[in-house]
Amino acid sequence: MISKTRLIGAVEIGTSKVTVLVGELTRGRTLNIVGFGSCPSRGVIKGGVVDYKEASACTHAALRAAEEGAGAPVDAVYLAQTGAHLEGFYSEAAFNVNAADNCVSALDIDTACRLAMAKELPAGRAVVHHIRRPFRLDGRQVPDPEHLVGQRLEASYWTVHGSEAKIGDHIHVITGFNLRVDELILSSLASGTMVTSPEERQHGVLVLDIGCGTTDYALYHDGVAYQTGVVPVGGDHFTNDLSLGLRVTRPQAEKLKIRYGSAVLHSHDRHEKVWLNGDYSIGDRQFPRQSIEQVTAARARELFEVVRARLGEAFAPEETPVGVVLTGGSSRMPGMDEAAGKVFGVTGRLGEPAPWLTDELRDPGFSTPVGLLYFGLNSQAERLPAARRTNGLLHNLKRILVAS
Amino acid sequence: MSLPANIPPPSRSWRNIRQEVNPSAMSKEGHRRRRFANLKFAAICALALGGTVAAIELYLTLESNPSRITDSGRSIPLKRTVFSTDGVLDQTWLDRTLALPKNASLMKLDLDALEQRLLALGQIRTVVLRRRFADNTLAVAVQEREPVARMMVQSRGEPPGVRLVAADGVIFEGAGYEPAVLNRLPWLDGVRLRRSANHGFEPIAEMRRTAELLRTAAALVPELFAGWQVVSLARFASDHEITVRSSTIPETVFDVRREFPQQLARLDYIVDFLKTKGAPPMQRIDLALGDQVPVELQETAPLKPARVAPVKKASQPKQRRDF
Repeated sequence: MISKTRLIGAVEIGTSKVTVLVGELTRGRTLNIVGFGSCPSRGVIKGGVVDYKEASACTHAALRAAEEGAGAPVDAVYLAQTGAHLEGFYSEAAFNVNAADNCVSALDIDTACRLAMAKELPAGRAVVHHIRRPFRLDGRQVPDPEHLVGQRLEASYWTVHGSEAKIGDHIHVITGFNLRVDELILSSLASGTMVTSPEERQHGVLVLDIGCGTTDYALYHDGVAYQTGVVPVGGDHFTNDLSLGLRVTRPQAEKLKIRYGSAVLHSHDRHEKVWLNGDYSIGDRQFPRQSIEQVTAARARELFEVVRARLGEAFAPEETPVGVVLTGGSSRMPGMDEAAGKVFGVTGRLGEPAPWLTDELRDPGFSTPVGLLYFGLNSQAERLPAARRTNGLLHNLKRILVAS
Repeated sequence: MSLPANIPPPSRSWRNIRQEVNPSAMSKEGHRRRRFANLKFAAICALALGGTVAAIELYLTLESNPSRITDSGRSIPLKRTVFSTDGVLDQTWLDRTLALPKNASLMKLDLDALEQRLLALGQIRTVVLRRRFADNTLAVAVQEREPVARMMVQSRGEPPGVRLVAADGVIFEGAGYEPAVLNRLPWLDGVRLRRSANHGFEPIAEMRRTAELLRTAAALVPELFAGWQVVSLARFASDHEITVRSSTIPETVFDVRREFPQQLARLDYIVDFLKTKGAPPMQRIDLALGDQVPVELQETAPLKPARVAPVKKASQPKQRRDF
């Protein structure tokens, strides 16, 4: 008998760490998180694999730890995909309804969807997601046009594609562990599904997943992701800026960022100083707190402005009533929500983890791996509407008759 | 219906990327997992192949020479028989009845023949024979019939002998019963036996209802039942009556079409009533007449001659009272 329970590994190969969660999927309906593994990342820069061996070693270590926690080998992997190579474009197609009574059939829908998706990509690019937007039938928006009456059916997609080589690198890191990648899911979609509710996505919300090397964003309208993207700026850039601006090493800058970094200026006293180490050791020195905040706030503002510029006209504050939801490890910097709110002109807040998550998985850094499992389980947004059964007895009989 | 032909093919998806990696690019753990997966696959293939070969071999053997399958087991000797029953028979009886030869082969035993031999005895209601290869034994599990009456039977050219009758009417010789148990059984009378094909007798059809009467009497009026000596079915077919002769009442008539508990309750009441009244012993009670129960009492000892008008002895009526 074929087992109805599968162990799925949700893998996020990030710039700072590799995280693996093992979820037990029963009958494709229920999810139980049974294992967890994490390892500091090596050989990965801005979400892309640059050293295969190093990246494999840390990913496999995290996978092994997760499998040991789960007590059973993983069957397949849902892999998060991020990186500046990912791009997206909007495509649409219109189709005149065939039937004499103008009643939309499943075949009409299928044809419209295929036409909309059939855009040729440049060489070396591969589609990651086809995210379908609501259909339009004679101009009116409908979620499912089948059996409705109309003349002109429009289907539109947001297609996310990336470098085949870079995606292949990610996949091969997993296959090097003798595992298959069952789903490749955009990080922003995974985390966006996790930190927002279906109602919020219906009304309109912008999700920013600020990681160590990249910031993934997803703009939701009408319950689906209208636009997604990746900005190659993340928490590392805050550290870099501090390192250059204050002339300290990267580890020291990282410490200062975590302790005193802020996305908005809180300190108004120019003479307030903070110690680098605070242990009176040799080389320990003082820095004006305002300087640290100025550096991090400038970088945060710039990051949000880059995202806003990328979104362009797609983002309108009045069409995003829920506002900006921040997640990812770097969103924990104080004032990030406030800074985002100022730049985007809407309310900003930190993403709330799902209430059913255990305390150790409530950190914003886990929103992507948890979202991978959740997204893989629930959301098949980019898939075609349910196609008619084409292998039935009548269909086969008809095929035989036609062939003869 | 089919899709229009002018739709361009879908773009290349990430799913088109080959998920195979050069073994040299695999980590140590990946190699270990791969070896384990290959071993697992090989084991499954071997099992499937073995199963298929075995099935084909079995099929061919069954087609060509089925005896080959049993030949392999013919050399297994029978060590002993294991007997279990819900009645009175024992292992000695079984060994004597089966009379299996020493060093008989377990596979050569004809279980059907043995089963028929046991069932022919009548006392055995069901029998299950099972070869147990684990300890080379033959397991025999039987369920026995319980006798409810006995009768004297004389076959042609044989001296008369006692046979037992079960509730389903089967007549059997009976083995293993204590004499005291048999002596408590009432005799059956007025039955016309018919020979069966296997030199025995056909079951008595009237016995089911008769056994019901006996069971009910034993449960409801045990003191009266203890005195029952003969149960006659002579008028069962013609008048639907069962006549019982007991040590205290020479003739009690039951109606087989009516419920026995009511008839027995009435009998018990009459016996008690007459006992308390000091009436003379009963001669006949007829419970087959519905609400009227004629009770004939035995003639009492003649009183001292009195000066009464002489009466013809033959016309002297028995005392009679209706209940």
